[in-house]
Amino acid sequence: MINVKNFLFLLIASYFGTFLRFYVDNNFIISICGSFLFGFIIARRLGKSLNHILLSGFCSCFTSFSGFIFFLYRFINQEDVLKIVLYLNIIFISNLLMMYFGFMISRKIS
Amino acid sequence: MDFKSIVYVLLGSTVGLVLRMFVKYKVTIKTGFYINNTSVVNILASLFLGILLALNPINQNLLLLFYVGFLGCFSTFSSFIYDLFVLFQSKQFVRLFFHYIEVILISFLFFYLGYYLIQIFI
Repeated sequence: MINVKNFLFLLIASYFGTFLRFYVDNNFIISICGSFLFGFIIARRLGKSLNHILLSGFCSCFTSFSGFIFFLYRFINQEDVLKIVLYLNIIFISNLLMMYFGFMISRKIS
Repeated sequence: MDFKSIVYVLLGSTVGLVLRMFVKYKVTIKTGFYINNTSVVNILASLFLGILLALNPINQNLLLLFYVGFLGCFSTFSSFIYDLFVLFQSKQFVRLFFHYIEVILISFLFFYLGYYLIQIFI
């Protein structure tokens, strides 16, 4: 399935993503940037192994769903329900739009 | 950031990455809902996060190992958005809406399940 060389590159990409996430330490900025990069890369039609390294390795380790859940959990203890639903939808729509934006920019360049 | 905490983060992220690859390629799930492997990874990560928050670790290295390393690499937000984006591109808006609601609700359910289960036992 995966050979040793590709697996090593995958590990290095994921370490890079993890440390970048650790240093930025802001969940909203991370998810926006990650979605943009994901859309940008998916439109380039790179090779299968390179796609695998960049998407499953770098982008997936850079963004984290558990951080998003933790972010919402902290809001639940402070704010009312209406505000939480609003935040949830803002995050979702802005991420989807950023991915679409990245996809379109990538298509325009190539 | 000293050498020891770097090693903790690296260890956690390696385990998370390998486990995610395993779930992504080797596990097949057949349910009536639109649950795919990415959703399964995210739901499991929410469950682990609930358990971790209920245990409330004081040790900073434990938080680095599990929260930053393991959970960060195990769960993936961008793949979740990509699943929605694929539905968005093929103009299946009803299905997109239900997938979104479903994943968020089930994740929160599992988060609180882990959170309260641990609090009962302690």
